[in-house]
Amino acid sequence: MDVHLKNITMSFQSAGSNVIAVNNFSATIKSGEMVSLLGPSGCGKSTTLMMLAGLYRPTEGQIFFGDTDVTKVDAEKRGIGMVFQNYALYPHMSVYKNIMFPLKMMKVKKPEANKKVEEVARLVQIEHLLDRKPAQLSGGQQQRVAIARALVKEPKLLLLDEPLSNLDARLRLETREEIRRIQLKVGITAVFVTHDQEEAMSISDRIILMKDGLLQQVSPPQEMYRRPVNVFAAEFIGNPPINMLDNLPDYGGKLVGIRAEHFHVSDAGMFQGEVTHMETIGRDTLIRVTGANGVSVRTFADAETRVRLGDAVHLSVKPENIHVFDKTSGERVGEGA
Amino acid sequence: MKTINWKDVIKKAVIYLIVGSGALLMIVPFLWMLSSSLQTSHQVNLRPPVWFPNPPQWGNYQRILHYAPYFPRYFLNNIIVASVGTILELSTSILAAFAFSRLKFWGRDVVFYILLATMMIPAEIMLIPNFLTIVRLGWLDTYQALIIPWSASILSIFLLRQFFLGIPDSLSHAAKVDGCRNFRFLWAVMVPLARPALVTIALLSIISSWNAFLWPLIVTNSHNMRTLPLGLALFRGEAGTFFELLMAASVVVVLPMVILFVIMQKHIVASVSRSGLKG
Amino acid sequence: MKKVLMAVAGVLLMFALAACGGNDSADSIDGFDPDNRSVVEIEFWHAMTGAHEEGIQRIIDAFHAQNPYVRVNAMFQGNYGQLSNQIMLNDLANNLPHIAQATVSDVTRYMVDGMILSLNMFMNDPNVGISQAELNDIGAGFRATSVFDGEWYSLPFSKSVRVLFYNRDMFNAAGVAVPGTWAELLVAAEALTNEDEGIVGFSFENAHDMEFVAKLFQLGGTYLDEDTNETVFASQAGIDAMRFVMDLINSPYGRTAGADGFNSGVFGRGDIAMYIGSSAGLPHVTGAVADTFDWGVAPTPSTNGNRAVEFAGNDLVLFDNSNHSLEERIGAWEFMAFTLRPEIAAQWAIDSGYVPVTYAAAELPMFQNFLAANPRAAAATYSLPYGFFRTRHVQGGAVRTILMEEMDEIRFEITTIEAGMARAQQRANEELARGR
Repeated sequence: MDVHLKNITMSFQSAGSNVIAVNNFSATIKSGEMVSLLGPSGCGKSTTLMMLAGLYRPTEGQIFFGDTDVTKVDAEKRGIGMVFQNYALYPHMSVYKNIMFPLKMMKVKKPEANKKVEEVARLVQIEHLLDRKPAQLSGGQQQRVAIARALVKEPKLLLLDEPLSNLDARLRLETREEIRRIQLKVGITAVFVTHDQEEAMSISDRIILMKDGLLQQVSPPQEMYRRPVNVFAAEFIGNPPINMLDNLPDYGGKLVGIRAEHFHVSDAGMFQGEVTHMETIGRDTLIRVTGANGVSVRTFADAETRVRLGDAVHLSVKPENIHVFDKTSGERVGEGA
Repeated sequence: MKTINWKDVIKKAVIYLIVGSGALLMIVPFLWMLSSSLQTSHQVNLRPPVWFPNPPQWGNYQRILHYAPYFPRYFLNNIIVASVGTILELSTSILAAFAFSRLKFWGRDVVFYILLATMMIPAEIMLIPNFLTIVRLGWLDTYQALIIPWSASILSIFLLRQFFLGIPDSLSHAAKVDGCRNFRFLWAVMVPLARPALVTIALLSIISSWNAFLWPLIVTNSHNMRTLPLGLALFRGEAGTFFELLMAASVVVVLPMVILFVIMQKHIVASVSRSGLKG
Repeated sequence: MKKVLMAVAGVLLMFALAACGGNDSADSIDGFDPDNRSVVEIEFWHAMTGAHEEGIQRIIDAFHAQNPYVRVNAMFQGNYGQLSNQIMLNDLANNLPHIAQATVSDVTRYMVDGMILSLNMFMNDPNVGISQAELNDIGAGFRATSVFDGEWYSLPFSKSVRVLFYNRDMFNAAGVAVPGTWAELLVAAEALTNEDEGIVGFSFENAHDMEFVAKLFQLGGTYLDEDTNETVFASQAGIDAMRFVMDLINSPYGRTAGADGFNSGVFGRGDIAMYIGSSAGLPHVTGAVADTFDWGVAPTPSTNGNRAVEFAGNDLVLFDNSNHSLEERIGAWEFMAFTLRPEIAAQWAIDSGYVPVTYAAAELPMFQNFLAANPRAAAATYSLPYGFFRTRHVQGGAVRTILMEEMDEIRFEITTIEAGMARAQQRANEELARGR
């Protein structure tokens, strides 16, 4: 089932003034896709998710599930499953009862409900935890219970609100793989909200990038990485952040973006400077090269070139890896030459 | 070889001493009540007091009935009033607290603060107008008069509302997505979570119902309708008091509350430790 | 001639008619048909507990046995203070009972407020009334507080009097006779005090203003002048009386009940040799002593042959509530009148320990036998002729409170007797001047 958002706007009164959380936002999510709503805090991504869920009503615009206009339909009737940032498990019920809850609300008969609960518990691998109460589970386990509860009623759309932010770094890696695995296995359309670009990049089929309530870019992750449509997209995606240079010769009046991995230490190149900072993060060595005019860029030192702090180096880059942006509009205008 | 940490021993001893004396201070009046309930009229006046009457006058508990033949009826009335009243109070508190915390309607907060303000009115001022209302309703000397005026408590509503406000929105969102709407959410999720607050409310309600004296005194006239505290008044005469009987009657009045406390106490502790509300 | 005959016939006819129609007599109650009565229920509010409440039920049962038209429903309303409050509250709600017990100042207040009915119309009715002889039989001391301007507003019911409780064993051991005068009492108190064993000779009840007022009257003083509406107890007689009481309390031979509330307990454990208290306390003393020593009850002491002793207790009043029917009121009256019957009044006195309210009751053989078998109950009855009420003023209660406050200050030497009494009188008069 495809999901369409058409000209969605969400505005509300806050402290006397009119705040526009989501501004004329349109997007389509294809059936079976995992799409992430990515952006910094306050960009409107969570609000959009809540509108998809039916918990918030858009001030303007329409939402379609397939061909059905669900803009005015209540959350419980939309056939969605949702995973919340804090999991929102019912603390006084066992894991089993938690997962059973939506089925109970739908008045599914006991034996059939039983089967479904056990099935989904197996899917997320928590069969052994069914008798415990949420307080007795770890964060990661609670999250899986939340996912199970969301999936047990076989919804048409799965919504996840920052599902990984409450987990520690190592668990995040495991869990996002789990989520992706489950989503693919069940074949369900999923939207998840995150502020972590790495997360979005790793598991989405497409990323919807937002800022200040406005849609910035919609692309598959690699495309967004290689061809950011504006400065914001370029700077938001990628770790370490893209190097933004101004006032370069040959690019007067325009902003130039070059990713750290696209600089090469060589004998000659467009950039020249001294290695002022070096950090080794396991497999990579990240160096900062500061030029004469104080401008510095980050890049990687590869294994062959032995670079040391204080060395004077030249950095070269392939033209196709240079992104040019208009200074005023921030939009991408082309590639380097 | 085990070495005794004297510092710890002394510390513990001091703590136990202080806490123990406090406990003793609290419990001595009850022990005295029990002891004097088993004494004769003569013994109960003796100084220094007799602590262990020998033989214990179990007959005093029989003699209460002679003095106050309706005492069992008072007991029954107390139970009826306390239990029905508490159930009613819990119901109204849950519904009102839910409305004030989760529903949106025009004037909601204003109404709540006005209700809160009524708590500042001294009860004595309300006594006569309430009495007149009862008379006009034709409820004098009935169970309604004893129960209905106390079936809603602003304090309970306030307590519960605070508790409900502490339940995260995400929980109600999750329930909504699951197909559980407001009213059902209240009873399926919020109420079970609010158990410690509800236990507190219930306890307060039961105790104040059980011990109420002034209101039952003025709205009831016949022995059929009177409550236990009024029954105790029967043992104070104009020219003296039969303390041993008064104490025996008091034991009967206090015992259910003590038992209730002992039972509820475990429940309160369990509720507090069980509530692992995460997030 | 014919005219004269006609006139005579007319007059004769008038007499004949007057003789025949008994109900047409001027004194019978309008609207009451004794031959066509329906059953009515009346409510009687009281402050009686235990044996007292049983005594009331006995009266009611006896009444029911001989009056098929009236059913009395007696309801305990708490102590006298609470009963009084209930009356005031239900007056607001127009929900008064038919009959209730009322203290002396309550009777005055209800009368002034128009809450109670004058009983004369019931008394004079040929069917339900009582004769003048029966009325005269009511204790003279009680009439003072029931009759206002020739109209009866209450009937005495539960009256007690101060009496002297004494430990006969202690008296015998010390060779002391039971005191008849206050002077003798002082001597006896001193002789019976034993500091080593912690025994004090004499004790006052906490409300010992009654002894002060009795002494005041015995010295010929007056409490309240109803004509000038002023208290006058700070006279020389009053100061002497107060000094007497205070000297005794502050001496090693006298004390008050203090923290024990009532002297019955103190007496029962043998800490005092004698005390003056209400005759209604008899059952409490019986329980508190429990055969641990021999004891007796004597009338209170006199001064210069004056044996004045103060009454306490309640009357019965009949309320004027708009939703009471005439038949209900008559039924209520019938019950009230029933309590005056000698056997009933005597039985009530026996059951309750209160004094019999009529002479006839006191003289009944059954009561005399009771006294003979229970000599401790005799003292109260023998005190009847000397009993008085200090005042029936509507603010009597307020005046009493002021007096007792000043007595406390005098006792603990915060102020002198003269100053304290002067202030008590002044404060009381301000209160009286203010009206209700």
